[in-house]
Amino acid sequence: MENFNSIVKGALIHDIGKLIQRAQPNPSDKKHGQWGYDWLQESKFFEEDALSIRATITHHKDDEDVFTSNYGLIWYESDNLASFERKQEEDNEKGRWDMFTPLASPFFKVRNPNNLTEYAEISYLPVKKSEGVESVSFNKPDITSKDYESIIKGLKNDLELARGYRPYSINLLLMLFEKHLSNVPSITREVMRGREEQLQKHPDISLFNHSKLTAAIAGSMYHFYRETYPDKWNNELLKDEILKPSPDQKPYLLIGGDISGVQRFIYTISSKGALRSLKGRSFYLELLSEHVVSELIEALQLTRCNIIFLGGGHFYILSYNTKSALEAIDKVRKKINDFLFDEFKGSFQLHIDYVPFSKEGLKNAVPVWQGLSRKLEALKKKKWEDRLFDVLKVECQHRDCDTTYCAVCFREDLPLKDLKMVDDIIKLCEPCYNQYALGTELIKVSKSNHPVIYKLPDKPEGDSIKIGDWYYQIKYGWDKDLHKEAKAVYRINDLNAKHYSHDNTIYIPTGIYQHEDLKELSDAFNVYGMNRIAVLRMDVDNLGKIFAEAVPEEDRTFSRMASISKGLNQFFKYHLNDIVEGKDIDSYDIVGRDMKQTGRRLSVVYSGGDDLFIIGHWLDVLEASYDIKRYFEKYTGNSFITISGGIAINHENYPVYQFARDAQESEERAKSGGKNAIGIFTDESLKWVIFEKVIERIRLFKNFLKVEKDHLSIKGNSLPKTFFYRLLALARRFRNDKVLVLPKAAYLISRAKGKPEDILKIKEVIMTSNEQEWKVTEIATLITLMLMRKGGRENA
Amino acid sequence: MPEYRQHHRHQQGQQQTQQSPVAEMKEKIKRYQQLKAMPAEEIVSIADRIGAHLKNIGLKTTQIRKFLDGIRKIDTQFNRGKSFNKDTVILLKPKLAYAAGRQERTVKPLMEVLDPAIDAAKDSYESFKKLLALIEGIVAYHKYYGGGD
Ligand SMILES: [Zn+2]
Repeated sequence: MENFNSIVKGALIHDIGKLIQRAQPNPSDKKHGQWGYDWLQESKFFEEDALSIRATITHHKDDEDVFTSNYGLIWYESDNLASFERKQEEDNEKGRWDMFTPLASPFFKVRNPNNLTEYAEISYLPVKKSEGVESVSFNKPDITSKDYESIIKGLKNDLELARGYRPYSINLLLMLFEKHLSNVPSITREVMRGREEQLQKHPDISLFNHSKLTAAIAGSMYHFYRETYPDKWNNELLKDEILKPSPDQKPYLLIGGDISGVQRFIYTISSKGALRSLKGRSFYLELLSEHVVSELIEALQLTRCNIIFLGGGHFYILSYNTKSALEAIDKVRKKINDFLFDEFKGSFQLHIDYVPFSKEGLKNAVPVWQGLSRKLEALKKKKWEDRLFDVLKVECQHRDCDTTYCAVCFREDLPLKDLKMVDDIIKLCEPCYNQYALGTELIKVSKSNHPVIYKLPDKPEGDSIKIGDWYYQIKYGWDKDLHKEAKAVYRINDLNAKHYSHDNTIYIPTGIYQHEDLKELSDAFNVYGMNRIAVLRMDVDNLGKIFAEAVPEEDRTFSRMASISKGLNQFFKYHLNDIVEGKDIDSYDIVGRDMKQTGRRLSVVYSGGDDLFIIGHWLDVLEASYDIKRYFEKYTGNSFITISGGIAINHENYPVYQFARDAQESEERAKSGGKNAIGIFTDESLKWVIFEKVIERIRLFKNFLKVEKDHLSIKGNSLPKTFFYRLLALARRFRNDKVLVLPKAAYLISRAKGKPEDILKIKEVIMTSNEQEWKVTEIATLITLMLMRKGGRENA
Repeated sequence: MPEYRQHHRHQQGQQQTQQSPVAEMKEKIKRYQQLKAMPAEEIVSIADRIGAHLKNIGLKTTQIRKFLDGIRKIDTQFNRGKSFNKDTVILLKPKLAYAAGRQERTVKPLMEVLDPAIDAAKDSYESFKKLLALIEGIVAYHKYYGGGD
């Protein structure tokens, strides 16, 4: 395995020279490989990795040692396979190298899913990753060697901070590459055949994604060739086997995982302690996917480079296709499902399957991904088929449950524990109790101190979560004893190299934002205006189509498909935190509550993959929905990739599962109305552009009102409250009476008092027979009335 | 459907210099034997023009308010058309004439327009409802353009 690590690490750093070269005053003095090799040697950060750093000068066809060792062959071939998009471009001669060309967003490759002849405008990323929410630019940014110098400086600083942890773990390097190289183009070649062509062929794979995939392929190749040619591996050069495999040979596997029953598992809980239980359960599922992925990686003896995607209850792993690999997968699968079955009595299940593929699958990845999702779908239909007997078996009631059952999951077969709530004690089964405790821990986590999760072999003191044979415990900072004992240390949203001292420190981005004061749902209840809670669900429109068809066929390389899905996941897991918090960004603040100081009173229950679930104060949730939409647009820069959502608003005691269902229905309405919309209230689906008008209209109404601490109130005698009630009634009548409501509207407005220009504006938008305007007025009025409701439980 | 917003801006700008729209509106109404055939857009547009005009010549709300209240009362008597009675509708004409006689300058123009409208409203309850909408519209627009009590 010594060799394995060197090969993988070598593959990971093989192109570092590109970064170094672009910062030089005399870049063409050496080839990029040589620049990288020399830098790695001089910096002495990689002294222990003598073999790995040879990858820099042993991965190009004109490099000396490429064809003289199996390492060289693997580095060379994995680099090629990871960059099919590059290969195609090298075939045509009219290219031009421009060292300072920027990286295009991988999303610009996505065509209009409803009209595949329509291409998106090209958008670019700044070469240095921004601290906050990333957004693309449609103007080509100017990049100089100074920019590259500064990136190198950042990377060097971090390597310096972690100097004591050498030899650097692959996990640490992965985190640092993600941090510094995500916006650095892996190639800087522009194709010069006409503008169209140039745009279509613009480099859009980052050095981070390229390096990571190269390492994933190299690791897979290592195991495949060693196992397939055990006698030759150490003694012979496997040149033909590696470079010219027969087309029907399938050295690779795409492994996919999918959790089914998530909906039921997360949302079927009573309202008591709902927020903590929700949060705990949803995070439990994230930990579970994380756990399974790490079990698989370990069983397959691969690295985290091979995790192509992890989020939203799904994962994809690139592996090798050998007998031992398949056995390892089966073993993990069986073990985890036995555990889940015993722990949760079949309320959810983890499906794992895989598709073998040849190197062609790295060029056109779509059939591979589609094949896999078909297999996973089929598995979902056969829920617990092999355990039907167990499912049907009548469980013995535990004696604790003679008169009651778990207040969260309603199980009766486990002993119950007392959970003290503010003014109540409820009885929970152990798994539910632990998830509630996990939720409580998560709620304490604030932005300033990065939480750590330790994966431990023995049950630690205090609350922990057991998955399989391991215990997971959340801490607010470093814990010396746990650190020593831990098998893995997870760092949530933490990019500080200093925190990566454990050999197996793992960076996990997670949508975790929650307002500091929000401990129970009721804390979000009495905040501003009417006392209501809202749930928001959102996801990307046409995702299946985007992956299956919207990227032109010749562009569906494995690395591009991985970049696109990774990009989406990054938005929902990482950037979402800043967006919904609303402090650092240009966030919506409809009534001017000084939100930038307070942050939004809501909680991200779940977010990842391409979807999210948020719960909190209705106004915060409403505003956040539009912030998410706007930032998503800036992030992808592609107007064909749209997002739809549904909002459900109700009382704090409304059951969470019902909230979830209502929000889902709203979302479905938004989708069925042509997507790119938000479903809100009971029968409204609004295109986002109309939603924006609603916000504008509320602001207009606000000019006639007074902003109090917790609600809008009447300003002198400008517009009485009855004005808004009547206007709402008129807007509803408009659906049937149409233009006949105009005289009534005229009459109503004639009583408005205020600045003439404001009155004129109101007249303009209301004295209209335009149906859309009336819809906007209806919703804006409804929301305005909700804002005018004074808080307090008695007014709910 | 026409954009009323445009129409209004136009209207407001011209109010001062405009000739009385009464004759023109009267002709428009006379084109309909039965008021139920008149599209809602036209009702609203007539109400708009007349409402503005009445404000300009200084009609007070109270002067038409009584008439409107009377016609609303009749509407309740008709009980959603179940007991519609054409004579009751015709009897509105002398009532209006009486009011106009007392307020020649301001109520007469209103009467001139409503007279053919009442004629066209007696055939059915549906037509009567349009008449009601017209009068309500006139009152509303009168107020909208700044007409006072
Ligand atoms: Zn339970």
